[in-house]
Amino acid sequence: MRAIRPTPEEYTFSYAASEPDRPHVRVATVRVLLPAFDPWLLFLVFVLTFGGLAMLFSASYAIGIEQYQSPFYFVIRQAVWAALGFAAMLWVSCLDLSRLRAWSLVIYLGVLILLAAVLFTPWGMTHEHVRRWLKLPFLPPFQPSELAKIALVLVLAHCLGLALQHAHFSWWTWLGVVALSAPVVGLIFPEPHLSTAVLIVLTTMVMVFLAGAKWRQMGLVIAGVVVLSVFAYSLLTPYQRERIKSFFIGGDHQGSNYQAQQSVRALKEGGLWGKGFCQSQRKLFFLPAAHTDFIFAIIGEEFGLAGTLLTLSLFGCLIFKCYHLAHQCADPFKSLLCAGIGTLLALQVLINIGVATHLLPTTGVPLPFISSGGSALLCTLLGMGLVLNVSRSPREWTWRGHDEDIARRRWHGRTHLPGVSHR
Amino acid sequence: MGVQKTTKKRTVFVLAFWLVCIAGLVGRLVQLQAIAPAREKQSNALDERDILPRRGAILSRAGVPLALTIDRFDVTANPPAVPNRAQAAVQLAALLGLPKDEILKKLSKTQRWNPRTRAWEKNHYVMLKEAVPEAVAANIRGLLTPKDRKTLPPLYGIELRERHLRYYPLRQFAAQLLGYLNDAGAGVAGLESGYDEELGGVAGKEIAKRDAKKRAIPGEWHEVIPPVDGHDIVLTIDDGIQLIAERAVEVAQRKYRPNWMCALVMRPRTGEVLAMTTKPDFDPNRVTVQDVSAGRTINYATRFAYEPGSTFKLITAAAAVERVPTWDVARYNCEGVRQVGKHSIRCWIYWLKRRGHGIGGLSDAIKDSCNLVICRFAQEMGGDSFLDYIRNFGFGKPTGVFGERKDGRGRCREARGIVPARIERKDPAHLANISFGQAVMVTPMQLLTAVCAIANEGVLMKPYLVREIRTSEGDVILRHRPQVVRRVIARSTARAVTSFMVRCVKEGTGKPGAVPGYEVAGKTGTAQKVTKGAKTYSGSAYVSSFVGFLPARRPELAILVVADEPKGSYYGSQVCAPVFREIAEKSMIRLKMIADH
Ligand SMILES: [Zn+2]
Repeated sequence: MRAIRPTPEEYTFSYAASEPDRPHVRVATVRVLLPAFDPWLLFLVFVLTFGGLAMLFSASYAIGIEQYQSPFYFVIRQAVWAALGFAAMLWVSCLDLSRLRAWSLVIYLGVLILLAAVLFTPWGMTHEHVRRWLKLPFLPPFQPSELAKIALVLVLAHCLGLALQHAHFSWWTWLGVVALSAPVVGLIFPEPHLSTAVLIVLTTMVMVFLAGAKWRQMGLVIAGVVVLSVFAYSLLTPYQRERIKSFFIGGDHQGSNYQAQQSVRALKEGGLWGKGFCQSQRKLFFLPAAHTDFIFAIIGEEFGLAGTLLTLSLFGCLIFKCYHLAHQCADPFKSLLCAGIGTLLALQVLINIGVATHLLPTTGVPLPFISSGGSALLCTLLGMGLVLNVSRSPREWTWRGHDEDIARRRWHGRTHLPGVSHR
Repeated sequence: MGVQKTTKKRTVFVLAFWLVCIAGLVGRLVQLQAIAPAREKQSNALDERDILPRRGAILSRAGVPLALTIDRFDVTANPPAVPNRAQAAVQLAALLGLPKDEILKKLSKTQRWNPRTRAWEKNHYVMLKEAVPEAVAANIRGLLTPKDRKTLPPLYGIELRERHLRYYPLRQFAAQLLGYLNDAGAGVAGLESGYDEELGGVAGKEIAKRDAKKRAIPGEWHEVIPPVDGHDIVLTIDDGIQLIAERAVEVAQRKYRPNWMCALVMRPRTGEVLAMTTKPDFDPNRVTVQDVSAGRTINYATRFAYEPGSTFKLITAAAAVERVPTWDVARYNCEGVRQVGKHSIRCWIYWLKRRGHGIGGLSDAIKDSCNLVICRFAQEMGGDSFLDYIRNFGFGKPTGVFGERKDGRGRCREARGIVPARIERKDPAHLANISFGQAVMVTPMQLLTAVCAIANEGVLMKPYLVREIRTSEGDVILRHRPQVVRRVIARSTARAVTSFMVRCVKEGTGKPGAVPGYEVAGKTGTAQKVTKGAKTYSGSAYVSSFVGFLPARRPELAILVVADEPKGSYYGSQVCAPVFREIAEKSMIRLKMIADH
C-alpha cells in the first residue's frame, strides 16, 4: 500500500517538479487520473454491494411477485441505484477534498432545504403514515435524510477540523456542533424517523468525542441529551412508543416483537451452514420486511452461521479500514471524515444486526449495502467515495486553516498544498 | 498539536469499542445458530390439507334424487388487501344482492382481536356470503382476473372458496328418514347419519410446503391424494307412494292436530319399505333449533314405542288360532265389564253404551275389536306360548330396517319396544291387558312388520329401506334382497287371521278403511296412553292407528297409520282409517302404473 500511496516527500517532489506558476490544483488532477485508492477498501465495497444485490434478490423475489408481479422488481431498482451509486462514489473519490471542504456548508444548507421540502412542500411524499420521501422526476422517490447523514458528517468534520487546529475544545465549539446538528435532527425527527434521528445524534457525539471534547463536557452533554430524549419520548407517536415498550416489557403490540421472533427463528433455522441460496422459508411472508430491515435474518437462514459471520467480518473490515485511515491521517478534517463515515456504518450495522438478533428493540435501520432502499445505498456509496478519496492521500493536508489563508490573502479558499517546510 | 494525539488515541478507543460490539454480535450469532437451533429445525413441516370428497346422493327406487351434493362458492375477503373498499363494496353489493353498507362494514374489519395473545392483529378473513351459485361466482371470477400486469383486478382481495352444499330438492319429503348434516358436513340424523361412512367418502389430501399466506410454495414438495367420492344410496322408497302418504297424512294431521302422525307402507312379500313419513316435518335444507327441540326431526315410525291397543289383537288372534284347538267354535260372552283378579276390565263399547258386545267368537272379537272376548282366548292358550308368539313376530327387538353395520349394530337408532319377560301369574289382568295391546310397547315399524308376516302367509320378512349402494361411477357394490326371518305362523293361520281382518273392514270397526274395488284386510286401534307421571291410563290421551293390507288374497301393500293424541276424535276408525284408504287407493293405482310400464 505504501508503494502506491505517495508520501509527503513524493508530493513535495511532484509539487516542486511542476511549473511554479501553474495552479496546484492541476497537479492534483493529474494524480486523479491514476487513482491511488486503497484497493482493499474498494474490494470490500464491491463485495458488499454485489453480494448484497444477490441477497436482495433472494429476499425480495417473493414479495416482488406478490406486489408487483415481478421477481426482479426490487433487485433491478437496487441495481440501478447501485450503478448510480458507484458512479457517484468514483466521482466523489476523485474530487478535490479541499474544495469539497470549502463547499461543505453550502452542501449542508442544501440538504437542510431538501429536508424542509420533505416536510413542508407538496413534493414530500407520505407512505404508511410517515413523510420521508421526496418525489423526483424520472427517478424513484428519494430519502433526503440519508443524504443528511453524510452532509452532517462532512460539515462536522470541517468545523471540528478547524476547531482542532485551535487545539482548544471550548463550549463555543459545542455550541457550533449543536447549531449544526440540531436543525438536521429537528427536521428528521418529526417525519417521523426516530432511528435516523438517533443515529445522527450518536454519530455527532462520537465525532465530538474523537475531536477531543473534554470528558467532563461529554458527561454533561450526554446528561443533557438523556434529559432531552426523555422529553422527546413524550413527543413520540403511540406507534413508536409501543415499539420501544414492547421490547422492554415484552408485550406483542403491532407485531414488532413478532418480527423479532420470526427473525430469530430464521437465524436458528439457518444453523451452521444454512438452507442454501433462495431456500429461505421465513421470507415467504412469515418475516415482514424480509428484504429491508430484516435481510440479515434471511442471510442467516440461507447461509447459516458461516454467512452471518462472513457478512459481519466484511463490515468489521470496512469499519476497521475507515478507522485505520482516520488514525493515519495527519489532517484532522480527513481523520474526522473517515471516522464519521465509519461511525455511521458501524452504528447502522450494529443496530440492524442487534435488532435482527433481538438484542435491541425493533427499529427501521437498514443494513448498509444490502437492504432494499435506493437512497440508502446511494448515500452509503457516497460516503465510501469520501473515504476512498481520503485513502488516496491520507497524509496530505487539505486546509492549513482559515487564519493562514487570510494571512496569505487567499480569500478564494483554494487548496493550499502543504510542504514539509510548513510543519 | 496535542489535539491530534487525543484524536488518534480516541480513534483507537472507538474502533476498539466497535470491534467489541461486533464480537458481542458474533457471540449472539453463535448462540443462536450453532448452539440453540436443534429444537427449531423441524418448524417448517409439511402442511397437510384435506380435500373434501363429494358426498353421495340418496335416491328413491326410481332414481329420483332425494338428497344430493351441489357445488357452491363462499365469497370471502382479505380486508387489508382490498385497495378500494368503497368501490369493491358497490360492485359486490350488485353481484351478491346484499346492502352496500353491510359489505363495506365487513371489508373495513382490518383488525381482529386475538384473545390468546390479547392483542389486535391483522384480520385476513371475513365471510361475505355463503354458498353462492356458480353463475354469481363466475361474475366475481371475471373481476378477479387481472387485465394486465400493471393494474390490480377490480375485486383484488376478494376470494372464492369452493364448497359442497347438501341439497334436498324435495325439501320436507321423507325428511325424518333422510336426516340432515351438521355444520361440519357429517350426518347427524336418519340415513345421513346411518350411512355416513358410505355417503361421506374418503377425504383426499394436499400435502405441501406453504408460505405465511398459506399458498403452496412453487418448486417445493407438493403432493395431492385425490379424494374418493361418497357412494350413492338407492332406497326402496317409491317416490310416488311416499308423496301419496305424505299428502294424506298431512291433511289428517291438519284436521286432527295429533302430536305427530306417521304412515308406513311396506310390500309384505319382500319387506321393502315403500313409504315412511312423519308429520309435522321439517326442511332438512334449513334445520332450525325449533325443529330439533319440538321433535320434528324424530322419525317416530322407528323411534317411538307405544302401546298398540287393538291392532295388537291380530297377534293374539294369530296365536290363538295356533294354540287354541277350539278357536273356530269357541264362543264367549262380552258383558262390557268384567272383574279379572283385582282389576275390572272394560270393553271399549261399555264407555259408549254401558253394555257389552254379547256372545262372540274369535272372528267377532277382531270384527268388533272386543277386549273381553280376545282376553278369554289369551287365557285359554296361556301366557307363555302367547309371549313366544309375540317374540317370534319380532316385538321387543329392533327390526333392523335401516340395515346393520359390519359389527352387527343397527345403522340408525331404533326403539326396541317392551315385551314383558314373563306374564305375572298372580295378576291375571296382566295377560288380559297384553291380549288387547296394553302393557306391551311396540314401534309402528315392528307392528307393520308383524302384520306383513300375516299378509305374507305367515312368513316374517326382514324389512329394509336400502336397495342398493353404488359407487360414484355407478358400480353396484351392495344389493339388498328380500330376506326371510322365520315362519311365525302356519299358512292356514295366516289365512284365518286375514279373513278376520277382511270381515273387520267389511262389517266391523274398520269400515272407513274399505277401498272400492279391493278386498281389504284391516284392523283399527285405539290405545289409551299412560299420562306422564301418572300410573293410570288417561281417559283423554289416545294413540289411534289403523293397520291393513290389500288385496287380501294376494297382498301388494301393507299400510300402517298411527296418530299420537289426535284432538276432536280419537278412534282409529275415524282418524286413521280414512288416511289408510287414501294411501291404499292411490298407491294401488301407482303400483298398476309401474307394472304397466
Ligand atoms: Zn266387547
